[in-house]
Amino acid sequence: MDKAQKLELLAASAKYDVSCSSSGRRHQNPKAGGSAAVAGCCHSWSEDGRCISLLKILFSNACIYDCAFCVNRRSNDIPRATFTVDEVAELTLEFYRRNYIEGLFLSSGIWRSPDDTMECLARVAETLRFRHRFRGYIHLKAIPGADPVLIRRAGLAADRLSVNIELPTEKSLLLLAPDKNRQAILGPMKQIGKRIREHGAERKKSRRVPAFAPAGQSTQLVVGASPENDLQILNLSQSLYDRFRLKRVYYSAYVPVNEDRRLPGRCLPPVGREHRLYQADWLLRFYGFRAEEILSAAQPDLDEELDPKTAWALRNPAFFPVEVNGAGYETLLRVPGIGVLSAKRILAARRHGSLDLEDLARIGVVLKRARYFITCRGRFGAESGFDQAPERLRLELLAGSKRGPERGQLRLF
Amino acid sequence: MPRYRYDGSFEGLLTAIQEILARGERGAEILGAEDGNLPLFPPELVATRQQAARSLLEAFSAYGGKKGLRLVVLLFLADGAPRERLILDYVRLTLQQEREIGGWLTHPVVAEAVAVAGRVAGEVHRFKGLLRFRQLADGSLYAPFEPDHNIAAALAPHFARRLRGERWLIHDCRRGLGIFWDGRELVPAAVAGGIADPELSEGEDFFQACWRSYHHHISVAERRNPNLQRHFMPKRYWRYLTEFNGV
Repeated sequence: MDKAQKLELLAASAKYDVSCSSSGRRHQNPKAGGSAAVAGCCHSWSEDGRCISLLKILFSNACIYDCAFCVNRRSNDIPRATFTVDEVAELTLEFYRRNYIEGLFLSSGIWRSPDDTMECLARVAETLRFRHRFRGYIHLKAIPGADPVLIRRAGLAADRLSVNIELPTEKSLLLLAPDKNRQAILGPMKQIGKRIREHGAERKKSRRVPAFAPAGQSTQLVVGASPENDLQILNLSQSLYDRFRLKRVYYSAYVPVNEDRRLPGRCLPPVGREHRLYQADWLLRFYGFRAEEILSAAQPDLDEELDPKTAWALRNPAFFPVEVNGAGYETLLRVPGIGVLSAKRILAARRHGSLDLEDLARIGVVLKRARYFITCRGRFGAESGFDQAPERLRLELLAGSKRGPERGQLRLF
Repeated sequence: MPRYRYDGSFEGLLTAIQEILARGERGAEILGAEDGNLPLFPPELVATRQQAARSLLEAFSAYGGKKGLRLVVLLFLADGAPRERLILDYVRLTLQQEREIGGWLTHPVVAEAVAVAGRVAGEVHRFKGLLRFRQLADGSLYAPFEPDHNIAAALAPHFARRLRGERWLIHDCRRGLGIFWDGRELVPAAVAGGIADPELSEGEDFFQACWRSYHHHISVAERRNPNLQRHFMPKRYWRYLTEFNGV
């Protein structure tokens, strides 16, 4: 099989991996050339509307495992291919040179054994970094069950490492991915988190200490293949952010690729649910929310019709209205419809004078939802403000959104 | 209403602004070099004076700081906007207020300036990703494109860092403007409009085909969403994108 055929096959096998971010890398200015922007950079968008920032491929799809939801499982009769280290390095360098990509995201099926696979991934990263002096972004999958020494080598060459947690609970993992177990996944995560902290602390003292996965670690899990509710998923994310200081948890709406009685039957990928989970995830990471504020045992799933912040606001009328001319940043962030950008603009504009509703519109704050929850110089933003019953307000908010139930991949910003 | 004309350079514009501020003229208008239709009473041509430009810039950045300077430069690159008026008003307001005013978004002058500068900055960021190089027979790289705004010069430093060890040319085909990188410094040059049709390197076709194939196969068919794709990557940019059979 030639390089082009392998690329076709191993790109198609990698497409269900969600992460494509190239952010978090500190600026480097080496003589060899090459750089990756701190904020990350999208180079293209595929037909499904997802950003392409990295060359996202598998090293091999010849997997010895048999996970129910995975297209590359051992029991599937599909063409198999395995790259060589130099083939991946060449493709990465040539794509990078032409500005197609920001770097490489290399994952793999379990080829021969976890150690063999991890060793290949580490060697690709080392070849790029140390032989070719490649300064683009490298994201490697850490393979559960691989020797910690190999994972260490990977972290010294890569910008980001990730271990896929795959499914929200041990029970589902046991059922759907019988070759994997929770401990083998959490082990490397813990190891990586510890090393990132250690190297980070050491590097503050001396620049000679090599960086270890300076862009941090992330993970992903499949949503909709197993019966867990959103509360379980968000609690898991929360604890991953708290305990392992993950940069990102990615959620991947389950796309049925296999017929398997352990799985839900033919269905559309639950992209609406995935979108709400991302919104809730954003609340955890940038808005100062805790999982238990967003969901509870009484309400274990996210509202399909309303975004999680609006849903929270309706449950917490005592918090409102918020006076935009007096509230602090964290308080403004809790107003539905006011995001990070709007909150910062409000703070900046307030230094030059107090704001009324027209001013807010002028500086670009979207008032569709926000006006029900704010006062400007003591005046309510909407005629029928937050004094009405939450159920009526809910209806009014829903009537205000022209779009019906949302479909397809949605924008996050 | 007094009218001024300048030679189209950044320094020329600053000289004209300096002149207007020194005379304390209200409602003065500055025409760009490209504004062809000369009225009955031709505008006064301001000769560019480096000294005047520099002293205005210093006075401005004493209050506006780096942030203000960046905004003014971005405005100067804007196309399809009254950039001379925007810069004049913004500089004047900053000097009047004696402070940095970038956050004063309720003021119409600031709001318009920030909005236009934001569009320019957005396009610069966009093309950090969307610019496509092809390798020529001599091993150098060539990237033709047609940005909405005149951003080639703002984009080039990014690629000077990224492709430091290569030789390349970024070519704004619409404005006939090229920027070379010879491995050491950036050299702007007039390059005749239209795309050159140079001989490509041996491997070029192969890697272009690989990229097109990759681009197609990475998409998840069940989640097809061409509207979202076009939202991020408007059609007007497609002509130069390798993944869409671009030139």
